[in-house]
Amino acid sequence: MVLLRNLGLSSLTPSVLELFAAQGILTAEDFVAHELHKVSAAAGQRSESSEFKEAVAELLSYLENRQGGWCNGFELSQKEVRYLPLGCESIDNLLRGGMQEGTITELVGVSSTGKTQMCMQAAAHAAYKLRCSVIYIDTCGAFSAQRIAHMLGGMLGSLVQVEEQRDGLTLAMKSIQRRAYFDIFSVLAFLQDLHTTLQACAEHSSLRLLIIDSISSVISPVLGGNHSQGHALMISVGQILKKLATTYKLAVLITNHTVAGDGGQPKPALGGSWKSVPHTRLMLSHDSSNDVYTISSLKHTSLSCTKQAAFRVGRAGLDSVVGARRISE
Amino acid sequence: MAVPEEEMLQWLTINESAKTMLKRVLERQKPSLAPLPPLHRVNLHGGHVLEMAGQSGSGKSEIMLQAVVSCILPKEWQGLKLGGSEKPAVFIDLDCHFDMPRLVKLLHHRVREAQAYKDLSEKAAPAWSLAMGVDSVDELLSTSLKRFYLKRCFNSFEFLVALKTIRPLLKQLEMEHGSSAQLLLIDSIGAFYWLDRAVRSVPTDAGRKALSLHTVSEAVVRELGQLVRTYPSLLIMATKTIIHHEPGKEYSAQMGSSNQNIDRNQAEGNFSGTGSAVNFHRKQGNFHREYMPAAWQGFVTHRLLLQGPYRSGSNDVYFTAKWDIPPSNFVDRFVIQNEGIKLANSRSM
Repeated sequence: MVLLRNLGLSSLTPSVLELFAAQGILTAEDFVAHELHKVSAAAGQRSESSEFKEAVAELLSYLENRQGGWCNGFELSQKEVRYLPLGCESIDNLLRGGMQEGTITELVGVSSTGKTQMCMQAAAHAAYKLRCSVIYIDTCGAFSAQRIAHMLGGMLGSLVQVEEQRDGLTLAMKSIQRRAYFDIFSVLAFLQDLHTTLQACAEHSSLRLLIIDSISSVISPVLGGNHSQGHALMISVGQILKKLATTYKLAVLITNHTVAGDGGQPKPALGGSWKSVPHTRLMLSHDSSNDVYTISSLKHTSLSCTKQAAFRVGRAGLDSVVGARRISE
Repeated sequence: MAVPEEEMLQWLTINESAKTMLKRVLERQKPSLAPLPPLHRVNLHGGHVLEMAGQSGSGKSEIMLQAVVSCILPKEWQGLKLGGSEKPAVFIDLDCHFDMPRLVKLLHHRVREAQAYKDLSEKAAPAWSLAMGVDSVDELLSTSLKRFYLKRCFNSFEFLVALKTIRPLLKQLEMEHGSSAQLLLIDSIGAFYWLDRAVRSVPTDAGRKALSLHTVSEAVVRELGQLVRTYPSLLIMATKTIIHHEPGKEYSAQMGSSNQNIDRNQAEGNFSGTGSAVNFHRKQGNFHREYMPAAWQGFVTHRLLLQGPYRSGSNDVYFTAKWDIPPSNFVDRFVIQNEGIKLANSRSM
């Protein structure tokens, strides 16, 4: 909460501040929650209306500028939409080019259905092929630098090439920043810090991908019981992720494990209120008989929920499998 | 709700003839939007507050987008009947789910569909595409999109600031486009529910209002109420995500073929159209449990309950809609396509 008198606006003279204070308006929060004409009526009685109106106008434009004003639809439509491919053809085709930047993509699936593999694949591909930096928040210790190195090696093919491209590979490995956090408070603190950092130097940042594997393992412990604080924490994480994604055009990739739902069918551990956070929700499953992993969309703004893609997890990363429909049947 | 004195006096001193009064009232009663399924059963016009309640993924945002398309497109353009109302629309995005490319795509589809309809009725050869180049469609879309304004908010404070700064925007729109905004869309109204609810437990100095759930919703309703009084032709549409629901239910509906039959039975049991509204709610369990504060509940004039997606057959995904205010037993079934929202009641009727 910021006190109005600390804002340093020239039109907020002592007499205007006094007028606001008489109505119980001391902070910007009080100001937006109050009926202005009540205050303006009080100002009218004291023949300070013009001074008061000026102060209100300046305060409103100050607040509006601080958070960004109204955007025109035409200007918004001219902005380019970028996609961050994962480097696995079948998945990228399913997503029509990859994860959309500025949105949150969520992977849901039971244990060992390829969620972490997909996260690492996305990180490796973004770091090496797209030459951007990646932040990988690892909440369950599943991150493996060696696995990423293998995936990078796989992108090149032969060992000779790996030797030739050593510098590029080192650079790629360096641009993946892994952070291990095991509770929601440190994740929140880190995301807030990231927001502050990006605010200062958004245009110099090469960060395009933020991965949290897994989001549910830090959120589930604080949910439950009759307390709403857990929900508030969860939604705070959702809000800061949305803010980071939309403000800095990051692709955010998160994973959510599953629990048993009705009739033993697996359902996402974070359902209900969390479901409004991710823009895209992808369901992963694994057929152990032929080692094929399938991915289908559960929620997408413009994709039908019926499409599927398939891939195999190989030593060198995810390989796309064509003819997914046949295999899934 | 307090009304400013000058506004009250102005209201009292109005002296109009029956003719002008009738004209004014009838003008207001004119439906704001061209019939847009599934909103077609109720005559929505300026001053109404529509709430669309449903779980995430039940088609709420899509209906909002279609409403935007109907609002900003012109009624007719180069002989094409687009069915729009050529009025500005203002969108407050609290959920950060607004998808601009999707809106552009829907606009394209609407134009293409109108063209196909025209070709069909005139039995004309598709020579139009030569006469009407891509450039001119782009021009139509850009003039239409200029009638659209968007604001993203990440917390209740920003939402309130947006509502306080919306008046200059509406005034500007009125000057630029010659007509006042017809739609104010809020997606979704309960986005900050948990955050604001937690604020209650934070102590504040005496006499000061923290932005608690109730303070926020009272302020929101007050600001919106004043807006509607200034702009009587403004229709407010808000979505509300249902957060207390039977866990697992919506999810199993999406799980595919194995649960398909159960889901269909559930859907038909609940939506057979014969059960009473009470029955509907009981069978739904706590499908729609109100969580918004009383101030907002009292402000809503119309409520549509949405459910879905359900699977029927192999690839068809459908949604259902049912009016809660005004109460109705009829359940509409609709499908979402690129060309728009289409009713699909034939099977159940």
